[in-house]
Amino acid sequence: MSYLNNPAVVMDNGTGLTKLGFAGNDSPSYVFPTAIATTTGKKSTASNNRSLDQSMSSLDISNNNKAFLNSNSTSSTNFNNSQHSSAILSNHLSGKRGTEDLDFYIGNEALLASQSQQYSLSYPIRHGQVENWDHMERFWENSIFKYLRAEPEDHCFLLTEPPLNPPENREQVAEIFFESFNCAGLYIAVQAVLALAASWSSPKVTDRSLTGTVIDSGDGVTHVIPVAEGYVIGSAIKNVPIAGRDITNFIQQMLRDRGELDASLKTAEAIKQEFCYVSPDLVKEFNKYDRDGSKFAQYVVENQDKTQRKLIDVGYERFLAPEIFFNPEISSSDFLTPLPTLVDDTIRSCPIDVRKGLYNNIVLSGGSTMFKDFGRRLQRDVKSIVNKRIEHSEQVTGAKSTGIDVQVVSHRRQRNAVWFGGSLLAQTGEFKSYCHTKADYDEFGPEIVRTFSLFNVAQ
Amino acid sequence: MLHLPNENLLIQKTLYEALEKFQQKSPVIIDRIVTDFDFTQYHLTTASQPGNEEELDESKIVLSYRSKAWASLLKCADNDLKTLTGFILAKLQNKFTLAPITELSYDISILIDLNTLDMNDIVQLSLFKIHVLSYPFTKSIEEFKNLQQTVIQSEEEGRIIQSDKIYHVENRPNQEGFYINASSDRITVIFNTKFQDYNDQVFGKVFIQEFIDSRKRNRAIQSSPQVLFSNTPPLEISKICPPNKSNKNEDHFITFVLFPRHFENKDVEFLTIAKILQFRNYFHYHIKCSKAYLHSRMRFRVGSFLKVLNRAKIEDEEEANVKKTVSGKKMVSF
Ligand SMILES: Nc1ncnc2c1ncn2[C@@H]1O[C@H](COP(=O)(O)OP(=O)(O)O)[C@@H](O)[C@H]1O
Ligand SMILES: [Mg+2]
Repeated sequence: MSYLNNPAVVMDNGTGLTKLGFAGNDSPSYVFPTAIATTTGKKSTASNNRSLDQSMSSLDISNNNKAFLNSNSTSSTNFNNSQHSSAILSNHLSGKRGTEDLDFYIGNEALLASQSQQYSLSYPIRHGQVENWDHMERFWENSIFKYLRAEPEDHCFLLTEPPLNPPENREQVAEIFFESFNCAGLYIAVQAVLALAASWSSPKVTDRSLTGTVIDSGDGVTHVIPVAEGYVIGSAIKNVPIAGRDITNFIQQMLRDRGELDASLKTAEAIKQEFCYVSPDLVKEFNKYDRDGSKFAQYVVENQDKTQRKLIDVGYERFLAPEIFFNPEISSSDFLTPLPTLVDDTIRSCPIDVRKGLYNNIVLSGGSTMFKDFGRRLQRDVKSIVNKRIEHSEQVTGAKSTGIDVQVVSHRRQRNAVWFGGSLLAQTGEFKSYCHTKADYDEFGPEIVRTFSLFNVAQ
Repeated sequence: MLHLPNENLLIQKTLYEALEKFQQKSPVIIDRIVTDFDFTQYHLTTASQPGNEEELDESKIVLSYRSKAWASLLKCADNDLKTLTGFILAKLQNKFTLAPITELSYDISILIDLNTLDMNDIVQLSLFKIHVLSYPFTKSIEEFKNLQQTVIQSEEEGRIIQSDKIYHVENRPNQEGFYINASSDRITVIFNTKFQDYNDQVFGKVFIQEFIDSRKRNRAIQSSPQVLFSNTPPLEISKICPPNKSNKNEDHFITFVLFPRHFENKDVEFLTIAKILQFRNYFHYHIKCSKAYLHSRMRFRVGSFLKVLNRAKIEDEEEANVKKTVSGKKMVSF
């Protein structure tokens, strides 16, 4: 029977990036944009279009035929596929009536395809929630069959959902996975809980508890989510409308203002990932730059054939861009609460008996928490807010407080923490028994997925 | 997309990234699980030093493979493991060797040396599953050639000899799998596939009918193999596959008839085998795509019904009496 122990499929579909892979691996097999390019029905005019699929399936590997390398092989949002743009184009399907629904690309291939008139690009997930179910269904279909090469009938699936996902959305997911795909089993986990589980890989974490405050900052939105014993305290969740995309835009704006040679989104994104960090003190940091020229960096943009190089200066944006988490007024005029204050507010709106655990275990997750010293700054700022309050109450009441220990946990798996947590849970032997099965679904209908028993491997 | 590539993209990606890092003199340690259709699983790991389990050898990768089909493949090879592994290594142009020990719970482990690995090898390794499963096909083609020779030598025109060997590969649970039988003028491949879901069964019927019909209609694909369908085991395999008495509708036997042109040279032969091996996955994939399409039509319908319903809402009595100015603004009366 060992053959029937197929590994579970773990999918974390985020607003910006989709993380796909098998349970038991320590990182997702694929990370690509949650984007889909669908046909617009317009015929392409170029006659020398080579079909992408042809080039992908052809066996001889000549110089320009490393087509598989551009098929979603990048591990982040580097759009480094564009050099292959000639490889993608018509599927030669649009001529046949009634097959438009099969003519689409996902992920990096979608970004590529959308450069031609024939395809239009869309992002089926907004603010963490699925907006377009038609597109999402096809996105999944392609992820499972083409990229993971899995027959859904043979695998259990672990999907993730954002905090406060309406139960109707879960039911839609169940409908798709059980009715279209006949998947063997399905478990839908809350992202924040998985992020907590992922933090167990950090040496700082000694007890494997599911209590903590998760700061999940992705591409479109940043959530502060308190979790007590594996249950999300829904009423206390707070959102920050600042996330990865805003930081990229901010950098792009600075590049434009300075009149750099290349101020594309791609360049801004690359600069963000490579050079940005969080500084302890804004004013001192500015002074450091003025005294010491070596802090300024240069980013090299090469064109497709690597014949031309452009040098882009990178300056204050290195620390100014991530600073908008801590001083939002730098870039936005309608949202002004700094992240540390918000974290403190969130925890204080939770029941008093769990607050200590929440301060004690503030866990970072998502791509936009990857800036150097992000965790350290957050810990310092939250600590100072808490200490000030304690001092104040000590003065007022005259009683000595025992103090609160604030700890922010950074760890190696932080970037894809949600996926990694999912992989940890789904590789255990008991995972299957926590899934809802196709038989359950057929008997009780989509409502079964409204509840999942809490899964905890922390015994 | 409609097209499912033959290659396992994930193996390509993993090996390519490992090779790239190795060539940049910053080798990575890998430990990855990769799957493929039909209960196939691969495990790619950095090899350990020969004679020393603890130390890793970063220039070598062990690729381990296991699949449901292995047991029946062994049977096809008369339970001779050497024959089968020898065949697989030959398919990979003997560029790889067996790992010193086969990984626990896997069927075969091969050793990949990053010093000599090239792009073409990566592609071949990503076709590992097809290479493994092509064993019974290759055997049948050999048999076919022998039988054909016998007929020519016997100078009896029109005589057809059927091989008494039927290769049966069970690559999925519940007796799903395929049978291969050679005769002196053709090779017959018969699939047995089952559907979990009643709806799928209906979809499947439509698809199969379309397979059979479109070959008749469309001249351009006349050279493709003939396709037949039945719910009972076809004659060729009735000996070893008794009809399923309990539920006749459960079994779906799909027969492909291959003629010499389908394996006239190595490339065509490879494509034929690859396509046939992927047939079941393709078939079920398409059924799933169709259901997704139906779903999207249904959502569209529901959406437009809702619009109609909303329009039909009776407006508020008072709202209806509000007078409007020429420009459409509400008139406010005091
Ligand atoms: N090393 C990095 N430094 C800064 N930002 C990063 C880094 N890596 C990824 N990001 C950003 O993280 C975001 C994606 O994070 P992710 O958690 O995957 O988002 P989501 O789950 O919302 O799709 C993108 O905006 C990307 O630019
Ligand atoms: Mg996310």
